[in-house]
Amino acid sequence: MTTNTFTDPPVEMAKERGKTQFTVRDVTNFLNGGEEETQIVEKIMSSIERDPVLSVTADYDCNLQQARKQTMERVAALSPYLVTDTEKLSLWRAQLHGMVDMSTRTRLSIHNNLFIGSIRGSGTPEQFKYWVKKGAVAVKQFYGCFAMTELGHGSNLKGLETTATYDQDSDQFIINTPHIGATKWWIGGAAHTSTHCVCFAKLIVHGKDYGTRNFVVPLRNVHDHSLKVGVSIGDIGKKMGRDGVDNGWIQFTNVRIPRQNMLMRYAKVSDTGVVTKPALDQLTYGALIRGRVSMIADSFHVSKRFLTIALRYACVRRQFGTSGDTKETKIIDYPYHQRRLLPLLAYCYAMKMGADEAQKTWIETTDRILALNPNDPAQKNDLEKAVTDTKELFAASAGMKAFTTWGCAKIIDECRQACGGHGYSGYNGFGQGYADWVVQCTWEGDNNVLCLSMGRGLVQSALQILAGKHVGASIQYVGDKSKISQNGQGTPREQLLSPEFLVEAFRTASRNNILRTTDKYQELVKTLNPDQAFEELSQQRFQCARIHTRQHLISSFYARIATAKDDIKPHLLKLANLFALWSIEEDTGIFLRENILTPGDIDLINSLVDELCVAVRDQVIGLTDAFGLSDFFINAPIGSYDGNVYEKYFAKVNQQNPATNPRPPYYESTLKPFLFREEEDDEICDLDE
Amino acid sequence: MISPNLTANVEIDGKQYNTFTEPPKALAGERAKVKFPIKDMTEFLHGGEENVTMIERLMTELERDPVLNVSGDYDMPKEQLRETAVARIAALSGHWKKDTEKEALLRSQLHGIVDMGTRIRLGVHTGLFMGAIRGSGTKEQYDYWVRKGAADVKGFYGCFAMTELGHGSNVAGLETTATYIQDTDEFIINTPNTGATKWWIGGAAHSATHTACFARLLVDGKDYGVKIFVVQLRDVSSHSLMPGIALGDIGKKMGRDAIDNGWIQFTNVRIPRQNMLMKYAKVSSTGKVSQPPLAQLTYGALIGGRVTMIADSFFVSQRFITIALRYACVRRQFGTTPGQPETKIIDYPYHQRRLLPLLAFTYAMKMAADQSQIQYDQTTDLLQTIDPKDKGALGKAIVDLKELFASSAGLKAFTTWTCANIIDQCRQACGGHGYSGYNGFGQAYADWVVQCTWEGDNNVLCLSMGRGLIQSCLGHRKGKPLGSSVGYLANKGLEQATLSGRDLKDPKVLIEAWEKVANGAIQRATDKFVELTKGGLSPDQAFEELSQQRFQCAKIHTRKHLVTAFYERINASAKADVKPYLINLANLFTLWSIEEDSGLFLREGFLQPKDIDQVTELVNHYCKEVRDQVAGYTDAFGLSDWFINAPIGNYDGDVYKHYFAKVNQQNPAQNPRPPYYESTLRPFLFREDEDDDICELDEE
Repeated sequence: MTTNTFTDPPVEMAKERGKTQFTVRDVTNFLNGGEEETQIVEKIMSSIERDPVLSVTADYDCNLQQARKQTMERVAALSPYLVTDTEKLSLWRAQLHGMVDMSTRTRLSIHNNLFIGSIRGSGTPEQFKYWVKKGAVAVKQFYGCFAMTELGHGSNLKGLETTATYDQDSDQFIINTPHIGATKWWIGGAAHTSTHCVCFAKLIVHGKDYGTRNFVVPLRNVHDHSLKVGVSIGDIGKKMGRDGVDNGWIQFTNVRIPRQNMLMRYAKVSDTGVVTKPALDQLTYGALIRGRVSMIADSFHVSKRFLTIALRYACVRRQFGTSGDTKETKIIDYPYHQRRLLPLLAYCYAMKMGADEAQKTWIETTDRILALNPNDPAQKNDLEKAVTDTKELFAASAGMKAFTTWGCAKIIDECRQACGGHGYSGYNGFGQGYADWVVQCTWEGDNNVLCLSMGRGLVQSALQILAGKHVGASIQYVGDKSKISQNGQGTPREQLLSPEFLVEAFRTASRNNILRTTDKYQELVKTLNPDQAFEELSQQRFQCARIHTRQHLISSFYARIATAKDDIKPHLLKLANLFALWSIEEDTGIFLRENILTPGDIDLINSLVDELCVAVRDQVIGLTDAFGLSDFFINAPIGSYDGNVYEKYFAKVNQQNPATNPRPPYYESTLKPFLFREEEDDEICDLDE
Repeated sequence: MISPNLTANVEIDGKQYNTFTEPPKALAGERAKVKFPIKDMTEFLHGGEENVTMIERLMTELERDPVLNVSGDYDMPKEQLRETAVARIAALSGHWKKDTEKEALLRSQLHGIVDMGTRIRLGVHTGLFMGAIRGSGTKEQYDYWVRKGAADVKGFYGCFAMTELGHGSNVAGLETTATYIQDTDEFIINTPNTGATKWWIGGAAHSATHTACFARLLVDGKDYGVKIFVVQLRDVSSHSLMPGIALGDIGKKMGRDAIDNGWIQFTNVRIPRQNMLMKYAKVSSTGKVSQPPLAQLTYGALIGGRVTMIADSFFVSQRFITIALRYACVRRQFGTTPGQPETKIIDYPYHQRRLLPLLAFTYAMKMAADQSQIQYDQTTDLLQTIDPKDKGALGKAIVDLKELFASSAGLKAFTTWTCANIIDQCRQACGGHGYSGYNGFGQAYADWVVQCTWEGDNNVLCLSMGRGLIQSCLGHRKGKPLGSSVGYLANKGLEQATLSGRDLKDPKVLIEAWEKVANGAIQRATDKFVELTKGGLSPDQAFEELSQQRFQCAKIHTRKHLVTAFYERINASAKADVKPYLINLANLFTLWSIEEDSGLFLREGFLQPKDIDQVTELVNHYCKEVRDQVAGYTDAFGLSDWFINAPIGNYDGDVYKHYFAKVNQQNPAQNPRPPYYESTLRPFLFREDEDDDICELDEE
C-alpha cells in the first residue's frame, strides 16, 4: 500500500503497536494495583467520558467567564457522586477527572476536601454533624471555601494577621481584617460561589494571642447570595491557568459569629473565655497533608497523559533523514529523541509507585488519628506514636510532592517541545496543561520551602541516628554502612545493571550527603544558634532533600516490581534501570565526588542509558497504552490512539475555527483603514522669513 | 481590641509600618545600599551613552502612545487581542519611514518585552517576508515589490509560508511543489496532500495579501530542491481569496493570541516566473536552472531571527528578574528570631541562590547577544555587497556565515531555554502572586516558549552544533585552521591544566576551567567518532550514535562562550566604578555554572572533590555580595513600570497597594452574584433530588 505524509501515520501506529511483547492489561493492572482496581478506574472513566456536561473537547477555546459558568455546571453534574462515592472512589474520580479538567476538579475539591476536610479534621464530631445538617456535605444551599492565605502572607500560617477576638458578653467572636495586607487572597470559591468559609485567624481572648485557629464564617445569605454584613468580597480575576476556579479576596470588618463556630477538636474556648490548648499543635494542619499526598498521584496522572501524546506522536512523525532513504526518519528513532522522552516515561512510572506508598501511609495514619481523642490522657502514648508517624509522613510527602510536581511540569514542557510546533497549538493541550499545572509547585507548601524543611528534618534524623535513637523506616539507611567500596578500578557492567547496586549507590550518595551536612551543622552550632546554622546550610539542605527523594523513588520502584507478574517484569526492570542510570547521569558530580563511581563508569553508564533507550523504544506504545487513556482523556488530536494525527488535528482545528470568511471580523474597522491609509505629507512651510 | 502583631510591625526611623505600608520603605532602603552609579551600569549594558539615549527615547515613544497601552491585555480574549494588534501596527507605522535599521530593530525588541504578540505579528511581514525578498530576491525583484507597497505595508501585507503540517524544521523535506510551465512562463504552486498544507503561517488567517512560499522547484520533471516564490493570497482591494487559495485560522495557541496564524492550501495556483526569488538559484524562460554555489546562503534570513532571539532572551529575562528581585526585597515570610518581624525573602540564602545566579546569567546573555549581533551585521553587509560570481569573496563570506550559524545555534538554544527558566523560576519565587495573571508571568511564559522550538528547534540546533564542533576538531587534527570561537581546541596545555591551589576567584583560572572541560568533552567525542567510523559506521551513523555527546559538547561550549564573552566585555568597556560589581556578577555566574555541572570538572580532573566545597562556599559568598546591590543591578536595566507591567514589580516597591488596585480595576466588585447565578448556580444550590423510585408493583 502506498501512503503519503497524511495517510502514513495510522499505518505506522498499527505497526508500532504490533511490536509490543507483553500483555498490556498486565501492566495496566500492575500500575493500578490489580484487576479489581482497573475495573473501578475504567468504570469511573466511562462515567466521566459519557456525561455530556463534562465534555472537554471545546474547552481550549473557552474564555474566563465561559469557563467559570461551565465549571459550575460540571460541579452540579458531579454532585450526586458526593453522596454515593466512597472516599476511595471520590479520590479516584477527582484524580482521573483532573487529568483533563483541573479547574472543575479544584473548584469542587475546595468545598469537598479543604472545607469539609477542615470541619472533619479540626471540628468536634458534634460540630461536624451540625454543619452536615446545614447542607455542607450534600452541597445544598451551602458551598464552602477555605480562607487561609492573605495578601501579605502565604505559606507561614503563624504570620497570618486576620483576628478572631472573643467577646464574652455576647459569647461571640469578632472576625476582623486589620489592614489591606491581611485581606484573604486567592480564596477559591469566594468570588462567585461560597456561602461559608473556614477562616484562619488569630485567636485573641482577653487580649492574649493564642495563635492561628479555624472559624466557620458565613459569607453570603443563602437565599439571595447577597453578602453578609461586614463581609467584602472581590474577584481576583485572571490567573496563569485554572480560569474555571473563581478565586477571590475577602475582607472582614468586625464580623460577629457564635463562639461555637470555632472548630474545637483541639484548642477550645469556653463561654467564660478559658482557652485549652491541644496536646499537639501540628495535628491541626492535617487537612493539608491530604492535598500534598494527592498531588503526588496527580503528578503521575497528568504526566502519563502528556507522555502518551508525545510518544505516540514520535512514533508517527517523520523529520529529516539519514542519507539514502526516501522517507524521512521517524523521530522516535533518533537516539536523542529517545533520551529526551524515555527516561521521563520511566520517571512517570516511578511516580506512581511513590504515590501509592504515600497514599497508603496517609490513609492508615489519618484513620488512626481520627480514632483518637486528643484530650484523653489514657491515649497519650498512642497519640504520640501517631504524631511521630504523621511527622514522618509530613517529611516524606514534602520531598515527594516537591519533586513530582516539578517533575510533572518538566514532563509537560519537554513533551510539548518534543512535539515541535504542534506542541504549541492550543488543541494539543500542552499550554493549558502547563498553565493549569504549575500552581502545584507553589501552593500547599511551596516546593522550595518544603525541600528546605525536609533537608532540616534529614539532618535532625541523622543527629538522632548518631545519638543512637530510633528514626522512621524511610531514613534508617542513613545509619547503615555503605556496601559499596570503589577501588578506582571501575564497576562491572552487570553491577551497573543490578537493582541492589543501584539502590545502594543512591543510598550511599544520599547518606554521605546527609552526613557531611550533619558534620557541618555540628561544626556551625558551636558558634551559631541552630536556626542560623541551618540557614547557612540552605544549599546543602536542598541537595539532601533532592537526593534522598530520588533515592526513595528508585527504591520504591524496584520494591514494587518485585510484586509484578513474570511476563511484564523484565520490561519494568528495564524502565527502572533506565530511570536509575539516567538519574546518575544527570548527577554525575555527586557519584564522582563520593567515590561511588569512576569517570570510566560514567562513560559506561552513558552507553547503558543509550542501550536501555533502544530496548524500551520498541515497547513505548505498549507502555503508554497501559495507562489506559481513551481519546477523551488524551484530548489532543496528535496523541490519538489510532495515530491518525494529521487528519484528526486538521479536523479539530477546522471544527473549532470554521473557515467561512477570509476577512477578519475587524476588517472594515481596523485592517482596511490601515492597509489603505494615506499619510499626510510633511508640511512644507511657505512662510517667507 | 486587637493585639499587637509583631510580624506586622516594623520600625524604621522611629516610625511603625505594617505589612501593607512597609514595602515602599523597604525598597527605598535597598536602593540606598547601592554603591555604584546606576547610569554607568546602564551604559555598560547598552554599550554607551548614545545607545542609552536612543533606547530611552524609543521607550518613551512606546510608553506614551495610548494605542500601545498594554495594561488591559491580560484580560483580553483572543479576538480582541487580534484586532488590537492591528491597531497597534497601524500606530507603529508612522515610525517606519524615519527609523534607521538599528532603531527599527531596537524598537521592536523593546516593544517585545511587553507585547510579543504585536511585535511578531509585524515581524512576520517586516522580518520574515521582507527579509526573504531582500535576502533571496534580486535587486530588481526587491524594487518591484517595494513599488507594490511591500515596504510601506500599503495595500500589501506579507507572510512567510515555510512550515507544513507534516514538516517543520527540515526545509529540505517540504512537499509543496512549484512546477515550471514553459508555455505560459509560469509556475504552478500546488499542495499535493493535506500533510503538505502550509501550517502555522503567521498573518495568513486574517491579514496577509501575499506570501513568500517555500516550494520544491520542478522543471521538466526534475526536482531542484526547495526555493522561495511570492504568491498572492488575497485580492488587495476586497481581501477575498485568489483563485486556488484555501486558507483557515489555526485558532487557539499556547500563547501569542494576537497573531493570526493560519493554514494555506494551494490548488494549482499560477504565478509568473518572475515571482521566484532568484538571487541565488535562477530559472530562465527556457527552463534552464542555475543553482547557487551553496544552498545554505538561501537560508540566511533565518540567522537574523536567531541572533535577535539571543537579544530577546536578555530583554525578556531582565523584566522578570527585576520583578522577582524587587518583590523579594519587600516580601516578608517566616522568621528565624521569635519576637522579630518576618524575614525579607531576599535575605534567605536559598532565595538568593535561586535568583542571583539568574540575574548574573541575564547580564551574560546581553554580552553574548551584542557580540553575535555585530558578527551578523558584518557578515550580512558582506553578503549584500559581494558579487555572487566572485568565488574568493564568496568563500570567505561562507566561512564567516558557517561560524556564525554554529555559534548562534547554541546561543539561541541555551538563551531561549534559560529565559523560559528565568520566567518560571521568577514566577515561583513570587509564590502565589506569581500565578496571578496581572503579574505577567503566565502570559509571558506562554508567549515566550515558542522561541525554544521555532526557527530551529533548540535540540536540533544543539545536535547540529555538536556535529560542527566535532568536525572542527577533526579538521584541526588534520591540520585545518580553527575558527576563532573554537581556537581553544588547539591549546595543548589544557589537557594538563588543574586548579592546583590557584585562586578560584581569578577570571583567568575560571575561563581556563571552562576551556578545559569544553575541550575535554569535544576531544573525547571526536575520539569516539574516529573509533566508530573506523569500526565501519558511516559518518552519519556515527554522529547518530554520539547524540548525547554532541548535545553535551554544544552545551558546554556555549556555556564557555557566555563566560568568556562576559569577562571580555568587562575588560573592554567597564568603567572603574562598576567594574568590581560586574566581576562579582561574572564570578557568580561562572562558579554557579561550575557547581551545577561539577561532574565535568571532577571527571576532567580540573577540580578535586574537596574543591567542590570551596565552589559552594564561593557561590554563597558572591550571592551575599550581589544581594546588597540587587536594587542597583535591576534598576540599571532601566525599565519603567510600563515595561514591568506587573504591580508586584513596580519601581516604588508599593507592591500590595498596586496589586490590590490593579485586581480591583480589572474586576470591579459590584455584584456578589456571578452572571450565571440564576441560570446555573441557584438551581444547583437549591436542587431537589428525586427519591429513588420504589417499585410498588406486587410480585407474584
